[in-house]
Amino acid sequence: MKKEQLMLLLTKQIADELRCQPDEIDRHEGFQHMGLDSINSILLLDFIEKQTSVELNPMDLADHPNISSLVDFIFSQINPKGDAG
Amino acid sequence: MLDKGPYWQPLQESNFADPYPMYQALRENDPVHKAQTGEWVVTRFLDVTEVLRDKRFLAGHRQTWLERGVDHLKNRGMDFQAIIEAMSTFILNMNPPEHTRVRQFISEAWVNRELEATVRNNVNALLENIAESEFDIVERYSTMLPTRTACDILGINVASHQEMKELGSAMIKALDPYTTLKDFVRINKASKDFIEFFTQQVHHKISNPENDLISSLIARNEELDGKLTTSELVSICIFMFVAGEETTASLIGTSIFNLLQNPSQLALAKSGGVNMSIVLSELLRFDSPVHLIGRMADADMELAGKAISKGEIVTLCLASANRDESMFENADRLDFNREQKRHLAFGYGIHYCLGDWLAKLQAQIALEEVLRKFPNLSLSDQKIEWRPMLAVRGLKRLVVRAND
Ligand code: HEM
Repeated sequence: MKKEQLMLLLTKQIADELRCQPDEIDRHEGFQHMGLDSINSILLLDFIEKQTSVELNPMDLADHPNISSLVDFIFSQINPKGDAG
Repeated sequence: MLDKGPYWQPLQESNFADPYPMYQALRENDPVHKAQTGEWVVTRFLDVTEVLRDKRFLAGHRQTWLERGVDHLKNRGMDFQAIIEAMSTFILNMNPPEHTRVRQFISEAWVNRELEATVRNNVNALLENIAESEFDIVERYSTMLPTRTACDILGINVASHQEMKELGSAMIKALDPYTTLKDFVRINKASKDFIEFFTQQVHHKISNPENDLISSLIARNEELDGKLTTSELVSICIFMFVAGEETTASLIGTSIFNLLQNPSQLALAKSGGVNMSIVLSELLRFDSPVHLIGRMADADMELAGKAISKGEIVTLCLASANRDESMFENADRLDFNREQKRHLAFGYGIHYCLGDWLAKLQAQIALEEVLRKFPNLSLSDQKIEWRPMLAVRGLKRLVVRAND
């Protein structure tokens, strides 16, 4: 998987959690600011694990608090070359 | 990733093994710290006590959060209702006036406190089974004793103590902050099994009462004006089982580890030069089993100069409070001769532990007897592992040498 692909998948998943359209989601906006809370995060983290096999915890979301930095973080956990799954 | 990063990184590998440097950094730099996840983390002794004393801080936010989680997941087609049912009457999560009522109910029902013989019996049974020269004392001893004792107190015969222990371990995860979907699945499974098991037990004991805690809870309930339902009684049984299990196991395992690492203190304890109650009190202070408890602010208020808003969560680090240098001189040193002071290992205020005496009784006998049977007990070279748990911290594996 490429970063851009994961970015799209996450955007869609988050839009789904927040019951809005993917194009309303800004990749650089903070999760908290978007209204994504610890309850929404439960399924988001599970989704990420299923897609990438990377097991994140809720603190990782707080430490990498927007889609763009989260995807970078996920890739850094998979391998340094940038190919996932 | 985050080298000097935020102070609060409890899930980092190194902090499971040793969270005390993180706590110290918090106490010194930001004792009431706003975590990146939104809650406040309180690490100093006096601030922790202040919160526990203040009626405007309520218990039960974990329960509320789990309820919201279960609701949300239900909308996505997943059923975790058993968790809510299992936890319906956990007094830890209740507030006055219900808390007062149920706490009194449990205290009144728990009349048989002559448990020394029971504990000795269990300790001997476990020690008799150990013949190896090297063994994992967590697996074979420290986690099994509280499970056996809890079964005896409640009056339940179980096919496998091991299975009950594992259910308890899964259930206690419900008290941890930062719950994942996998945790929900595991907690839900444990909840279902516990509910099924204790519902059977309660029904059986309604018609066949014996001299045990479940029968006594049933009998006392009959005398109440507002009777508890069977489901509420079952929830109380689950909590009485779970509350004393992982906590006491942690105290015994961690204490053995800390004694073996501090030969001079071990020698002092063995010599009888200090009273065992002082030894236990210092072991509880030095490495407290319960690291984190939580409360929710029910009003806007101030704590150590920080403005806490109504609805916000405070996480109280009991284990950090007990290492606070401003309360305990050389707090990072295990010292049975230190000046005796109150510690917070069993909490403080209206939720103060109901089983402190039982935990101390079990730990005292467990430590005395294991050291009597294995006078040369020592740490092996094998890796020590801590459980990846936050609220109740304890060893997962501690291989020791019997050296008989
Ligand atoms: C070393 C072992 C133990 C430790 C460190 C410990 C610690 C604690 C702490 C810190 C609390 C307060 C939690 C809070 O304020 O949020 C608590 C509550 C409680 N503990 Fe223990 N505990 C231990 C063993 C036991 C045992 C053996 C039992 C007996 C079944 C027990 C039963 C309870 C109950 C029922 C409560 C709830 C009290 C309430 O909410 O009013 N505990 N314990």
